[in-house]
Amino acid sequence: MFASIVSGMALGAVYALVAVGYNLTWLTGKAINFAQAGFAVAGMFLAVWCYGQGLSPVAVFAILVAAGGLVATVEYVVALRPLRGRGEHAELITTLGFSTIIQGVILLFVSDDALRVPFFGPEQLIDVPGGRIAPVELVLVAVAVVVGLGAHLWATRTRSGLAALAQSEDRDAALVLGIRPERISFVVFVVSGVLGSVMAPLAGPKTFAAVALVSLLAIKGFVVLALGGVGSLLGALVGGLAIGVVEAVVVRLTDAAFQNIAVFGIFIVTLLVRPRGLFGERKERYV
Amino acid sequence: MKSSRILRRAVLPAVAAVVLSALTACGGVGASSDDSGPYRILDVGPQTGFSGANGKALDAGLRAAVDDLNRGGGLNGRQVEVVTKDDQTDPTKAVTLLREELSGRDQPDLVVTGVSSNESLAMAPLLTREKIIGMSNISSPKLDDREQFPYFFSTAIQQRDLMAAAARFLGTQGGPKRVALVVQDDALRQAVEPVFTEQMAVAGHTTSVHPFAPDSLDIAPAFEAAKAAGADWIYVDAVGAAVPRVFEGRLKAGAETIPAIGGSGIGTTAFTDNSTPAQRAGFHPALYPLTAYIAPEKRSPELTTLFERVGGNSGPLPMPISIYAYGWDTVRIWAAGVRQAGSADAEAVTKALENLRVSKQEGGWLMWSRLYGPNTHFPQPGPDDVIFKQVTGRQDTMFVTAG
Repeated sequence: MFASIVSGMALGAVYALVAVGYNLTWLTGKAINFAQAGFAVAGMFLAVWCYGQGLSPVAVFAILVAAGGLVATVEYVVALRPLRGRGEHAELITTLGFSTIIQGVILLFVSDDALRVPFFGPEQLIDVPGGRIAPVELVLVAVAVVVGLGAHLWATRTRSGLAALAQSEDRDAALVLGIRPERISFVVFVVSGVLGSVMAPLAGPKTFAAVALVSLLAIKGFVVLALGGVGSLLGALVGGLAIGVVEAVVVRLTDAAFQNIAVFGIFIVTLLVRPRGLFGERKERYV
Repeated sequence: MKSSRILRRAVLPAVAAVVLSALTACGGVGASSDDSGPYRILDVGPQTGFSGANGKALDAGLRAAVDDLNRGGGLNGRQVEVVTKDDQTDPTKAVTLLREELSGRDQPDLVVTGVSSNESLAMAPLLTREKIIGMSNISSPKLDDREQFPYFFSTAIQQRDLMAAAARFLGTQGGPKRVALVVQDDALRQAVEPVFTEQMAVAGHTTSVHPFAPDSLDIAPAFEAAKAAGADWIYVDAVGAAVPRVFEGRLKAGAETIPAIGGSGIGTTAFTDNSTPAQRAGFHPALYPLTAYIAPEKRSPELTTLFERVGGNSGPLPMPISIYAYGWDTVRIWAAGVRQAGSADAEAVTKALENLRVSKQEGGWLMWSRLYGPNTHFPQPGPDDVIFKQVTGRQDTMFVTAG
């Protein structure tokens, strides 16, 4: 069971990283980037190709940073900026559309259903009670914790983070204080795209590179977002790890069919009982 | 008055004749292709997305066989052409594409119904209604219903025959066993589980079943459950993206110490490319004709031609040659039926295929020696056609067996 829990936490870490990406763009631009999982999966295929060319892990990460940043910039310019200020949440559709484009582009180049992504670290499995765990699983959990906590601390303890939150809360007031909302939204959007693509060499060895992952991670990431609370970076981390563990334990103790039932059951109950999620803040409105 | 009579007597029949001839030329809905043009094979299957590589390989095999036929003068003196439609393994899309083609002028003489049971099951009723021969390399017994799908034929053996061979193989491993089934929980499970339970019981083995979700990213729990059930052997099957995850899950669960049999879903993929030797320890995939390595000097002329035509002599192929061979055999077997029937009429070809008078060597197909009869539209494997052996890797896309 211990091995299953660690394995579940590692999968949950992947979900959490996607959800952190969602939250970053939401907090700073009030737009969830549904193409976040597409960045991760495209990054996995790119990593496989780069390793196949004999590139070092450092070079692979550098390429992924550049590619993620470039694609995120294109997405921002094409799918988000034209909608700024319209306030109809049309970016839900345009980012979803961009995700579909990413999938289509991957399919142009991919001939295999699933590809093994080599891990740049040790691959020898570690014996633990109840099975074995892979070193990459431990690294994934550690990275998710660092990224989740780091993003939370950035948003709540740093000037740039607070400025980002401020412009998101009240754009006009932020402008008066000299904050440039458009610039902050753009930079954070690009950073979240880079986060999506650089998680690929860590998530890929756990999930394999497969096009179907785009939808799967996008949906699981959204469930984590709802569970942790929209806008809560800490919630994304805790929610992701929790969903991963629930999946693993349910599959271990019951039937495979209950895996998704359990996850979406939690999703529905959360929406009914605590719509703002575990860590979401109550929004007061004066009428 | 006089002029209107002239109009009625002379012009109207002429107009009617023109309209009639135009309608005849257009064919109209349900019309079949004319008797002088090429025979038409419609391949509705995945070319992109899930199983896209599989569908592409099958299509390349079809085209290689058609090319070979046409170079040899065609079929019954007519050329053969292939039209490919990409359904992305989506049964709904497959039916839509098929309907579009059937509403056109040139009706297909043969429809190749994808690479999955779901696609074939979706398209088969339409082919029954339109009286068109359908063929695919699927193993679902549901498609061997000759009342419902009289014109459908498979080029792959049924799951029941594979499972009977697996049960016999286990019997040679030292008496009755406790056999666990680890299987993808979708149409594959529906096709595999009933015959697994049935055939293992017939052979005196006891069974347990441990499914995993098709989109599951960690399959170790299913193997852990199989271990906990005290399995002596594990029969495992999966398709698509789940295949490499199966090998990873097996090792992570520490289940590589339990010998395993791989079903047809795994055995027909290039699983050695995406798994490690440690993950494959004690793993015995079901090997069909052409899936185990055949040295170049031992290959039949047709197999040599197939390799040549699909580019196997100029570089590594992305898929096992057996997938290309399914496409090749589809054309060769159908062509044998058309030759024997003297036409591509579905009923005549069906009767011919049920009583084929040409052998595998004469007909030039590659996989199975015993084909169809009035009681089955699936090939019948011979005693040595399905073997279970550990493999060490691939050579020329075929598995190299250990020892």
